[in-house]
Amino acid sequence: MRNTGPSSLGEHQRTQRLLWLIRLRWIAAGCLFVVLTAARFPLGLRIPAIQLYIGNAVLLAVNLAYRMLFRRLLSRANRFIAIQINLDLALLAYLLHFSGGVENPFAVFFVFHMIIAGTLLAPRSAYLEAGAAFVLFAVLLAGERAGFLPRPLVPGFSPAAGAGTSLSYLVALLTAAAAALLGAVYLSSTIAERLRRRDRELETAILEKSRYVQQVSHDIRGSISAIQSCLRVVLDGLGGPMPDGARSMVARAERRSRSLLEFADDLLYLSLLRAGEAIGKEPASISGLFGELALGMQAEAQKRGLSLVAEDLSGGKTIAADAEAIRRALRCLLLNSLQRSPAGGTVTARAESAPKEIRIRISDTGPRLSDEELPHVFDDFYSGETGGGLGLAIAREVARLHGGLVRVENGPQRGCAFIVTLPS
Amino acid sequence: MEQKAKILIIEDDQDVSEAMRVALEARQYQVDSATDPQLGLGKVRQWRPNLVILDVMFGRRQQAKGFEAAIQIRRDPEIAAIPILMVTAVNVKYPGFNFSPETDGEYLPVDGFIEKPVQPQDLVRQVEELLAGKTSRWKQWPKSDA
Repeated sequence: MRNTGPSSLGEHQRTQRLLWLIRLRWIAAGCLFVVLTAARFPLGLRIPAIQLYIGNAVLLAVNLAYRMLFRRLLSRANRFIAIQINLDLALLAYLLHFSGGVENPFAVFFVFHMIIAGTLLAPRSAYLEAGAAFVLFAVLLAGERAGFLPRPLVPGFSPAAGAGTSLSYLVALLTAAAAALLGAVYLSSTIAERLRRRDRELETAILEKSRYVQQVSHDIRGSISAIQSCLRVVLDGLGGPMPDGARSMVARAERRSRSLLEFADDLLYLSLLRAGEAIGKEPASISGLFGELALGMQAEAQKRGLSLVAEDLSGGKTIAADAEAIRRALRCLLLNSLQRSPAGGTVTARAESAPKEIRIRISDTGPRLSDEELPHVFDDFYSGETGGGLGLAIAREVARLHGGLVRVENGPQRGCAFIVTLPS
Repeated sequence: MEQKAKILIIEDDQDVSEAMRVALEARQYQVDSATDPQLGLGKVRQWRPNLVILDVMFGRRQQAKGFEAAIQIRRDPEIAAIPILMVTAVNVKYPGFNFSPETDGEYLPVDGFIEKPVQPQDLVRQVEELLAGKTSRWKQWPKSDA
């Protein structure tokens, strides 16, 4: 059986889970403070305030420590979560004891911890947590009943002395506690396991689809490549003389096959990105990439009667990136802006450095995008009035794989700007 | 008309191979071809071409047999000096196999790379340069990692 606990997860998922647990604890600590204060003042219950506020403060302090330590302990997330849950159980027992004893309506909170354990830990570890919670509950109950852990009575809240002293009541209480703890772990871990299995199936399906697309686009690419090679030989006159009419038709076929080849290339590249096979990060200078690309695209801009202005204000900052992927993404964005702009227009590309990121803004003088178009510009095969193909989808995927994003916004009067943000 | 150098094309896509053959024969080169690296190696030993044009990926399963063939040519002292022009689909990462001429190419005993789709003018230019002995990058092979 595969280990389905957090250790088998990716770093991103482990981070999310740990942060979720820490967030839950902030909420719990906040609620505890409100309840304690309400019990003390508006309700006027005589609770042992100092001990309970100390418990509250400890909860806040340990959570702060978890938050500060979590990156370092990410590689041992499974054990880190188990330790947190154990400490939470101990703190809950402490708070229950000082708020009138473990026979307390708030004892139901043990179940929350079991749900958390069932969701975040491997089933075996979660059942161990249920065992630990039960032992804690039983020991506290026995201690309070036998008198070696005298519970502070809260008048008006604690059960009256002598209530529920029969053996059958105690057996029922312990049985109910054991059933609730085990039941919570069983249900939550079963549901979590089903969801995880569904996730894995989905991931596999996406990967298979991606491989299928890779294979198809690779095969198509091979054939178009052969067609291109043959047509180039004919157009270069190496296959013998050809009448002008025939040459014009062959030239059309060659142009079409070239754009089909670019499409197959894009499709193959996008599917590789999505299968996680095309990215390898190394320090890359945005200035270098940017300058090289802006220079390389000048001919394309001139051909379309456009001016291409490149401003590099990134200050030579280096980021961990796949240089080829970034070059490809920026090329797609620049090409898109050049295609969108009518002759005589300007495309401006500006690279800027911000404290924790690098921003590349490519603005054009083409038409503004409609409200219907804006959310779909980066979709696969997006083909509105002013764009098409897979270039923008590639740009989005590359940005995402670098922990950044790409967005589009309309200019005040005309044109729009595509903005790529990459963490530095 | 005087026949120029002998060129062997080892390429499994017969259409690409034929396109290269026509382009080279138009420049009076003597051209022969093979669709498989093993057959190609046999022809290299028998025919002794002045240049070998070698594809990287072969067969339906797209195996990178071209690299192995290049190494075999270099290991045979009889044919080791024949320049090799390698045909690659640059910018394409095959599923489960990544190759970039700019980086990995330094480690290969070949003399030049040509991109698919093959542009005839580019092919002829590279062939002329190699036959004139303008590049001999493989002589540094194997390049050490140090």
